Amino acid sequence: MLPGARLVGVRLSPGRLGGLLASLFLALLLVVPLVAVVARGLGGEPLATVRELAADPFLRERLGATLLQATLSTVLTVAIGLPGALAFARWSFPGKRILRALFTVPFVMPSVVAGAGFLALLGPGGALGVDLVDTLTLVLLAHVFYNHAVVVRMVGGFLESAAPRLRDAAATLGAGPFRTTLRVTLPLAAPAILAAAALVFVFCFTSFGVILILAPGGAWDTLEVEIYRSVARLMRLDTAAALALLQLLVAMAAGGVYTALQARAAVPLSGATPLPRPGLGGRWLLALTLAPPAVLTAAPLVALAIRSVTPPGTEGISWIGWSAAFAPSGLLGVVSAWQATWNSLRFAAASGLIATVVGTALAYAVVRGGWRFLDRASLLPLATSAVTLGLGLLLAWPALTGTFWGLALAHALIGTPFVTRAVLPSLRGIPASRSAAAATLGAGPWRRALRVDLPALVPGLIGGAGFAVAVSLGEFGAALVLSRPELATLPIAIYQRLGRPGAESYAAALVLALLLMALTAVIMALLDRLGGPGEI
Amino acid sequence: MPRVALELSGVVRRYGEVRAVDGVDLIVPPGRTLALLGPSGCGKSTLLRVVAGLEPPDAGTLRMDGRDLAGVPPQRRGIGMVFQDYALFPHLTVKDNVAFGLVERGWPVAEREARVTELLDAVDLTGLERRRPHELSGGQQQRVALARALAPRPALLLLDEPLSNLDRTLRDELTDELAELLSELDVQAIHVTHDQNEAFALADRVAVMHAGRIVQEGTPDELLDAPRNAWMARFLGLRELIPAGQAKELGFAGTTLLRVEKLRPDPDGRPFEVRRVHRVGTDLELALTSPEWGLALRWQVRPRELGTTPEPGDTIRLRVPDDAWTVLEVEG
Repeated sequence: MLPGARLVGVRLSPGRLGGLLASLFLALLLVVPLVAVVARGLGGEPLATVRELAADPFLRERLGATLLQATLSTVLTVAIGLPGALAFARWSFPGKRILRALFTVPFVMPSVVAGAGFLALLGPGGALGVDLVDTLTLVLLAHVFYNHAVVVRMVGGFLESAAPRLRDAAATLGAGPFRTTLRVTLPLAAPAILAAAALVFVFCFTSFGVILILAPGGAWDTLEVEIYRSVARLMRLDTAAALALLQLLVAMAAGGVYTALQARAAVPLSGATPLPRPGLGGRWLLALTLAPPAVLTAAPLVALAIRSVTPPGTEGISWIGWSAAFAPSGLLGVVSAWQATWNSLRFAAASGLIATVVGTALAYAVVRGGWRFLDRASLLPLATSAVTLGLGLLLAWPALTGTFWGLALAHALIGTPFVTRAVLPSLRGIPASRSAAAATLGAGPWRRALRVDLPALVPGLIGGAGFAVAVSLGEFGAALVLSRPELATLPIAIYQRLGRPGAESYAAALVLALLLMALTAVIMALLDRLGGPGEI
Repeated sequence: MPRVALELSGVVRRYGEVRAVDGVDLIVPPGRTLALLGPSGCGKSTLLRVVAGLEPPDAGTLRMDGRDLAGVPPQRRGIGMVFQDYALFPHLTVKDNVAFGLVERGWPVAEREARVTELLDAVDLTGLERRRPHELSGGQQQRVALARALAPRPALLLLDEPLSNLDRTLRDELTDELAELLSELDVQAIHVTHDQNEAFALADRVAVMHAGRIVQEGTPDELLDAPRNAWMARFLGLRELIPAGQAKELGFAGTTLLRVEKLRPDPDGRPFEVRRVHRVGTDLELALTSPEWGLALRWQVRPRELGTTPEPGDTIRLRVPDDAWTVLEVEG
């Protein structure tokens, strides 16, 4: 063997270093905490614990209620989202872009903002004059609001690229619009519909902020909420871990369904062709299918804005919410809007940066380093709910609890999959010959990464980083478990205010929610301008 | 097989400002196959989609056997189509793809099965019934698409560049196969293609399209014998064109085509200077200039006919018969 040959063999290429970095990150911040949760949940005698858990009436009741709620939410979401998705894939019409943007709003909206919006609409003293707090109806409405965009985007996007050519083919074979929908469009979309449903199910099953705000009475507490209550109010870590274990199992099963189907749903079949304008009947159909979700999406946001300046119990326009929100911290034991915004931005910047580096490293390891298993593993943080993650970090790394970096790392972990998913397609799209050409021109692996790959990745990177930042801004569950008062982010500040009596606190909460929404909207608008989102 | 006459008059199709099809008049007599030939972007595929009913014309009328097709949706036209990317249904097997149109037309199960079997046999895909489209090669997919379009016995079959997604050798092979199959099944077809050889091999008549209009229509021989204008001649690969100005000096009324294949060696002929010589198969191709007329041309010849192989710089004499000149555009 030549001297130095071994050295060449272990040289750190970008792919290899990326794989090591990403593996270490996922191992320390995800695997170890989850193992800690499972170990704690199973206790010293796993078998006995499992039997106990299975027999525990409290757990069974919570699991049953959560399953029922999540199933109903999913069915309703698909029922409302599917016609919209079909309409989007079928026609082009004026206002389509705006509507698509509107439907994306809930997708990136922090759950606390959605909760506050529905509270302003249908809570005590809400804009519609009906108080539905603590009812299943309100929970379902909020979940449909929150998730129907998942169906519209996944199913609509899939069909828009796949269906037009096949619809043409069906027409030349004698199938009219209705028959084509029945025989081509729906069967074609079935994997996409099921994948979207699985995703929606996971979201609703692990729903946290929405439940905590809209059904504080506990009747519709999800396992996720119970985990939080066990940790925060009672410090019963054993119960929390058992609940988390149960939740993980269900979420993993649904997540497995999603990943299995998503691969099939994501196959682009042929190039998109321009869509036709709807005829008269089509216009009616469009209005009927798109109006309800459009109203449902816009109403809570409008109510939020209105109620922030007309809190219940006040006459006319009142700015008490605004002055209370920006009052210095400490007054009434709540954090000020200034400090919460500052905290949120700090966490978003730090976690966004880490997520971008780790997410890109991970994508590199998958595509260039051959670390295949990381492709799947990169989705794990998405499948793990925030409170469970917080609990895991609490159990595994108690020293991180209540520190800036503890929560920043948690947010980075949650944001990483978005970066990876956004970068992967661009990276895969770079033809191998381009790298080879650079190599024959004298560029080593690092120089190739810098001069050939990176420029092609920029749009995806910006998209992914923006998503990671938006996710950090809105993250609630992990922050609630891991944070301490001085580090309170905007979602925490909103929740604090909502929990306090009085019109002033209520209005201040809505003002903070508006602020958070605006911040998120700015990020998303920048994203839209600078880059495109990847495969989510 | 039914025979229909298709009649297009003044058909226009716009995309915003662009007139993809810009006033097409075309008659396809009953029983005749037609090829729409043209460079990419000339509007030929759009015209085909208008005929199929997939896009409405912005102006003009389409008639099939005298019946106006305006407002008739594609599913009621009885026109079959083979798409460029085949557009096979990925969720259906080969068999179900072929049976798709039969189900729509309410064929009884037994007849449906028989027809599918018959067609899969005709396109040589027996045994692959249970496969999904993605498990087939490009050539096999193309044949499934053909069988699917033919199954419901369409009055007219439209083929949109059905061979363009295949590699060169496979394409040549399948061109012949397709021509044989269509004549065997006695199918009246309109082919869209940008490949001249394919058009000439597949169709009785060829309509050449350029910038949304039909430039010329006729049998392959008619087109080659009398191209209507310089663009047409160039498109057909007839390269030795003399621009109008220069042609006038030689006594012609306008842009003139020199048919080099009619030039023959003749000691009493005109002098040409040899610039380059290279072999094309067993033939020689000479790049020649005529000092007399200031023309540059390429001329193919069998080495035997010349006796010796000329060198660059040599002068050879060629007889240019009168019928070697074709005046294309007479300038008014």
